[in-house]
Amino acid sequence: MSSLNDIRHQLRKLDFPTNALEALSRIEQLITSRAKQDVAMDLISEFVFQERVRDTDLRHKLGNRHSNSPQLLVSQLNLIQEFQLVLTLVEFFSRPGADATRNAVFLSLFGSNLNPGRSSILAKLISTSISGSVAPCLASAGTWMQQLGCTSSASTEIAKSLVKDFVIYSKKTSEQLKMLPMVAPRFAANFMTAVADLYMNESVGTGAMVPPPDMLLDVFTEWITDNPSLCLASQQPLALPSGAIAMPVVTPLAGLIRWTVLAGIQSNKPQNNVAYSKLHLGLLETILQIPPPNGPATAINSQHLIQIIHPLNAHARKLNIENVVPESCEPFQLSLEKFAQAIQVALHSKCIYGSIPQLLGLLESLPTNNLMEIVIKANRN
Amino acid sequence: MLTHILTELNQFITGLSKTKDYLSPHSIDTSIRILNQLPAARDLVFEYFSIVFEISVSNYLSSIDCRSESTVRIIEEELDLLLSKGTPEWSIYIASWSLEVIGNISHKHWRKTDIASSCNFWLNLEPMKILLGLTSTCFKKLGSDSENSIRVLLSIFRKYSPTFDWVVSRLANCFPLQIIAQIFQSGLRKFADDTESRFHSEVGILEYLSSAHENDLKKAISLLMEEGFSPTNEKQLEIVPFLLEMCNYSEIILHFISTVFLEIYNEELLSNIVKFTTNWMQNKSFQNMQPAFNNLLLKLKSGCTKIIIIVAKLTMEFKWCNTFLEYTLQELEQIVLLNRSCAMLQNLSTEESKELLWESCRSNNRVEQQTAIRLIILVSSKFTHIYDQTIADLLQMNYNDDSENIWVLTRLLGGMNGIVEYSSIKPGIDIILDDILLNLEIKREISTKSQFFFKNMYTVVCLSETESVFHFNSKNIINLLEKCVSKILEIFSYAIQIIEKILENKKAEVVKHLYNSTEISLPKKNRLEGKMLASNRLEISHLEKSFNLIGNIVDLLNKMHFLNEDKNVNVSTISRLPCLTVKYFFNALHLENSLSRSDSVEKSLSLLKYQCNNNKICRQSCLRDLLEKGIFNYGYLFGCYEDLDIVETGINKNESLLRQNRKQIGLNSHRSVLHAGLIGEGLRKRTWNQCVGMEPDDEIQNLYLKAITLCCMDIEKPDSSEGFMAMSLFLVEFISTDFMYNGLPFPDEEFAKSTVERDLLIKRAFLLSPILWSLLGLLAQYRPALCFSSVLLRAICATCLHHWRAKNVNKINIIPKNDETLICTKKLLQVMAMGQLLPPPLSNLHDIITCFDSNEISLILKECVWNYLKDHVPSPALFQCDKNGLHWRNPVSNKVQSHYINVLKSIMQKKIEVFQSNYYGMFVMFEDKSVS
Repeated sequence: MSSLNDIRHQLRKLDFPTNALEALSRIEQLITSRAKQDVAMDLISEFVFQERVRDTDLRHKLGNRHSNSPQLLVSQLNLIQEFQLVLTLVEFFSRPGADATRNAVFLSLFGSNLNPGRSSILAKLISTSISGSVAPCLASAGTWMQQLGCTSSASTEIAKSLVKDFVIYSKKTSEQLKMLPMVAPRFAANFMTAVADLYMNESVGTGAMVPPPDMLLDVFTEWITDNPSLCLASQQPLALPSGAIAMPVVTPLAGLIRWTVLAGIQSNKPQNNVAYSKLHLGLLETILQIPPPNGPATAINSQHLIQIIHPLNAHARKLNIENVVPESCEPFQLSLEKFAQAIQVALHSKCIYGSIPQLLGLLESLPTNNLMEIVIKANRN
Repeated sequence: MLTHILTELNQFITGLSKTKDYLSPHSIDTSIRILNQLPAARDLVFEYFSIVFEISVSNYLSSIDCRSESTVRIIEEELDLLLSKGTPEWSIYIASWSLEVIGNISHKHWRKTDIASSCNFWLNLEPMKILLGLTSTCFKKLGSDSENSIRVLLSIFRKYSPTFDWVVSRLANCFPLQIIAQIFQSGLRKFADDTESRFHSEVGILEYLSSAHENDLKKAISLLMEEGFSPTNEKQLEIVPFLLEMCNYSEIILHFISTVFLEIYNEELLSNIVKFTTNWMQNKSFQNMQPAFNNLLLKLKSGCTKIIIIVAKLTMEFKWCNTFLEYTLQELEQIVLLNRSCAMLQNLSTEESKELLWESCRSNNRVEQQTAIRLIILVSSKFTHIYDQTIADLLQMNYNDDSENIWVLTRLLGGMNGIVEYSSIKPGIDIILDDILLNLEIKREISTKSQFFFKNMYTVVCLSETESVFHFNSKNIINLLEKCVSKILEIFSYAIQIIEKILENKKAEVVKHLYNSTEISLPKKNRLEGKMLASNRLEISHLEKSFNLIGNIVDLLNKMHFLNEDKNVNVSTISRLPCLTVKYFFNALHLENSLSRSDSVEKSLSLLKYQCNNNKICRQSCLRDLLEKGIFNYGYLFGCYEDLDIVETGINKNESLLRQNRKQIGLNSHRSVLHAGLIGEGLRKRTWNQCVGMEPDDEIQNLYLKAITLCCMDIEKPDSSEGFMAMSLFLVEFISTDFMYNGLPFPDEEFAKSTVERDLLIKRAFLLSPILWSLLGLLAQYRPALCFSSVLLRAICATCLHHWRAKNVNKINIIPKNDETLICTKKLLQVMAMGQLLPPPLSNLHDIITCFDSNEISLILKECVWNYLKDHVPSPALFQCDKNGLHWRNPVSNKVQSHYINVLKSIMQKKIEVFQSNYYGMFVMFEDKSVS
């Protein structure tokens, strides 16, 4: 404990943000030594995020520090300090060193105890890293995202924030964003997975299907077209500290297939159709390039594909109510065809895992489509 | 190892946290670069911008260095660029940022002023102007998406409430209706949460907006009110109390709310209001407000008249209306008495309100009527012109006799209780009189209103005499009217002129018709008004109007007793009245309808009577006018024949004067002195019976005599015959054409020759105007007045004597009963007997005179009558005054000496078979009596 007190003592003599940088080095040491994890956590809270217990709880804290619940800790940073911290973190993560260590520190900083203050700093950190093309930092972020789950609430928050920064509040597509697959392919892939989940999804937000912003769609299409293997980037092995368990990977493929399929029944804008077709093509090419797996398939979960069937059926019902025969509705048939193509190609590449018969069975419930029938028949046995 | 942009960020942050050099161009450049390349630092850059603006404003306020201006401009340009090129999200972002900055700055430099001056103050500062400009650009950019803009604006408004008001007011111009509605809504929410809330900010903003966005404000209020009055609304419990609460804050809001309310008010709404009142009463603030509602009314700048009238109409149904009304009026009364001012008073003085109040004064609803009059009286204490105009209006209204509306007048004329020097009603009355006069002068028209005015004044004076009216005393009113007498008389005279003109036209028409007609069978005399009625109805109605007007005026004059000692009325004014009254009297006699005739005559007579008994000069002029007009101007009413010989002069108008002169020499000599005809044309044709005139009507004649009697009689000395003596003298003046030899004595018969021409004229006057005989008869009754007409009697007597002698010469012995001379002689004897100028037995002569022949008559006239009168001059000295004050001659003491009656006796004895009883009655019985 004395060493901890010493560290604390030394650090307190320094000013922010210097003490944060210093603290980060100490934390790195503590984590690599795999000892006193809780000390590292305390240091993170006190010196990195400058979290203090709210005044009302101060006396309580003095009495019994360790039993404090982390929610009561509030970051004392102002906007300028936040950016100072962001720069410090960037500087720290840019230091040469083992990827695994970096990832470990990153996960310690943002893994557990991700309170709103930290989440906001994380968002700023990643956004700044993208703008500044800080590859190591983004790589860690990619890992972090994958470990927490690309569609977890923390990841989704970050994804939303990034979309805001680079798409909503921007005049033109940022060069740095375009370059992202080169700089940090894993992060780019995980980012796509998270974003794909945000749009064209009935289970997100108000329940209405929201199409992605045009600029975002264009960027993704460009990414995939230029780097057909990008979607699989997340399947590369992770550099994790020893003992850590890699989480299962979700590729953006299923989510983006949902986009291209549902866009047909959603979008009325012709230029968007072109954009979605391009994306569709890019996706098909990606799937075709997936090398035959050594073990079980990992790229596409059949459950994710099954999710697409429901909105299609709902749309068919809607068409019926409007006295339109779904079989003769051109955009709808086009959607079905795209879906059928995607499934056929995916099955061909043997990259679907999960229950394929269930998938095929459910596909039969869809309104009739020639191509779809062929696909179902072809893969029945 | 940092990339370029991160290095810049680092430097920027260091700059911000350490050196604090915010305004350097480098900082600005860096910040803009960061904004463009490092989207994550968006908030940071904008915070930096906020600081720049704050510093800039402080610099402006302390008027140091203007370096900040260029910095601010650069930021503005950059943000403009973002707005024009960026996504719509930027608009909201920038709008809320700039509003936040404005709010923050206004909050820091807060000074307590009103919104308009805040606006002026802040807009003079360049940075603030830029921020506001940016915000409104954002709002414009958002356009249809005003929801968002308003949400942003109002959330910041709630944060910086009093200091941010001016911004809301200013920016509300972009979407006034929504903002106003939202402000009402936010106020309502506050009110619903806590009835004790304060609404200064909301009211301030609404007031500011009201000037430029009146219609939007009205619309917002109207929508809210509709909601509040709709029975199904959940919030209706709060809306109306809330609106009333808002009224308490601001007169401007009050004005708008009341205006809107009056616009939507109807029966249905009333029933809703009644239904909801109990609900509203559950609201605590409504409960507290409720007793003070009348204060709101007092503050109202428009429409309060309408509201009060509505409330007054409802008092029958709802008791609280009564209370409310009473409180309001008392409050207003206090204000007036304490000489303060309030908006309501100003409002009441407007033209529109005045009309409304007048309307209500005519209402049959007692409360409404009394409320209106009370308001008028109250407001008049400040605005006297309203009082005058109201008097002018209400006094010219038609009130049914049975309606109670007339009480309005008494209250109005009474002025205000408790104020001694309340404005006089004279100006109001002057307005009416001037108006009537103007109509008469210029249009020659009698308005119905003028009739009502005099009728109403009459009623009011009558009422004031009864005890039931406590508002004022009759003396004041009469005093006041006395001051207006000259104008009233002016009106009187105009009305008379109108009547006279019509009558004249009629007369001229009839005369013309008469002469143009060649038919001899035409009725010899035409009833004038018969013709008149047939000819033109319109003018008759005009005539009636005039009569009504005059009748009303006379009624009023009769009530006024203006000839009292106070002498408020000057003499020259009064001097017109007798003439007018007399004219009215004669005009009234022309009326066909006997009822209205007697009514009018009665009125004129009572006025005559009043004048004669109160003023000597009046008596003289009344009498003179009556006689003169009765004999000359209006003689045709009493069967007078008009001498139409003017037509018969036979003078050829084309004939030269020289030729005319050759025919005759001397003045007026184309006519013989005796009217016998023109020299050279033979005897004049006897055409006098073809005359214009009316059938002598006993009733009309009696009315005339009654009028004269009234003029002559003195109420205080009923037995005095002074008036009649004066009348007698007037008669002489009018009839006798000579100014000499008008004395009382009868001269020697020889001397009568010198006055023969005059005598003939006098005799002719009696012939043409039978009324003269009636007048003489009247005089005879009031002895010794007849004495003064001695000259007339003498002239007739002398002329008759001549005529009888002439008949004698012509040997006309058989006299027809209707011989003109005989009738004249008989009347003469009758009058003299009545006047006791001929004592018995001569007083019986008129009974028997027809039984004599011409020779005898001439003898009797000469020997008995003339000689007796020659020796006993008919003078007042003959009459003794008895203890009752009556003048008479005692027949016993004034015996006629025998030498005057011997001739008569012998003539009668000669024809004793004819005169048996008469002889006995005249001589025997008389002597017996005197002997015994």
